[in-house]
Amino acid sequence: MSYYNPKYLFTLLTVALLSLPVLGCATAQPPKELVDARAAYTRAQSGYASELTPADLHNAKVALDKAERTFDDDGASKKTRDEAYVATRKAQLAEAAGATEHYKRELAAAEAQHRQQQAQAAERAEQQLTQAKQRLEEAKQARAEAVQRADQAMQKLKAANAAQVNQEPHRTVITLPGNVLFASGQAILMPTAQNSLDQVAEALKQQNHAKIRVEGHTDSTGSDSVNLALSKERAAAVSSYLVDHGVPQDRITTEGLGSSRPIADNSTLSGRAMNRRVDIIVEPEDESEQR
Amino acid sequence: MKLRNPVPLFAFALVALGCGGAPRPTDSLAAAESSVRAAKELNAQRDPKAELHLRLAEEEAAHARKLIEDGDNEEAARVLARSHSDAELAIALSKEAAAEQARNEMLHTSQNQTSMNESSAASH
Repeated sequence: MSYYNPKYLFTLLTVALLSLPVLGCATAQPPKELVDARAAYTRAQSGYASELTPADLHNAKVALDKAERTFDDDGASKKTRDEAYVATRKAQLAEAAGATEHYKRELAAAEAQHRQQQAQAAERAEQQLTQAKQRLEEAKQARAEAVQRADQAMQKLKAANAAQVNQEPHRTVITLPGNVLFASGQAILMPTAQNSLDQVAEALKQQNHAKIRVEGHTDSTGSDSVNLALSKERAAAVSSYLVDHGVPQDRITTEGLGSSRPIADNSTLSGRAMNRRVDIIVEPEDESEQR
Repeated sequence: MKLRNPVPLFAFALVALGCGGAPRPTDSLAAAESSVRAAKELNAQRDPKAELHLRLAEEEAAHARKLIEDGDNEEAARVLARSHSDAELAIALSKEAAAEQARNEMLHTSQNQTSMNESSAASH
């Protein structure tokens, strides 16, 4: 038979065409690798990649399309399976890249929040420090003013000459002569004492950070027990008066010392007169208030 | 030209156009091996999924080298494409694991700061 016989050529062509399905064009069953590739792409598409890493997702699509075309052309060939394998990996890469970008954004947000919290904490700490400093300053200021008022009051008392005011390093001693306050042998305050005692009370009311001790003294005439009792009663009378005129009671202690602490010679008239006295000792509570 | 038998000619054409006509994929081999090294530098073996794909990439690259020696360049090129895609995936998975860890650590730190702030505010 001649090879140019149309019948031969026609047979050859028919056989060729019929062989196409066998050779692998458009086989019904896609290979597992291609099925996996399609599923991997669908997964990647529904994750973060669509929004956050579209370029990687696009590369995955391109790879999948290539594998699909190869499948259409060659069926379930090695080439199709290899290309589908690569397409799967590219889809998985896109999915991982999308997730990575998502984590990075969450990290950035968390860092920003953390910085804000730290800033708030720092600001709060600074505010508290400022307030504490302020309160300390105010307390110092108040204390300084109180000390100043106390000093001024004492100076005023001194200047008024209503009583003797001796300012010693750690205390001030106000001395009220006995004859101004009491009749002889008596522990009741005389009306004439009022003026002096009022001024002393005014001065003492300003001594806010001090302890006040009221001490009664007598001269040496008479028995010790009588003098002790009298000095106590007189000190008490002065204390009561002071408290009644606004000096806080919890600042005052009262003592009677009888004739045990003379300040002058008991053998002279004037000496005995000086020994008959009430001393009011003002001692600042805080050593830092030394004058 | 009078052709007595077209079949041998046809067969020869197939051979000429089909197998063994591809060039040596040395560039692809270099690129694939470079990706594998990059994945190793990122410590891809610390994440289990990344490590799997790193191993696959190494095996495929070795397989491709052998195919090139045997002269099967076309197959070698496809195996290299697989190797390269596995290596790139190993890198991406490694980065994902690192990003997730960093995010989790920062969230933990942030939570600690929040409770510190709350207790500090409450005591003043």
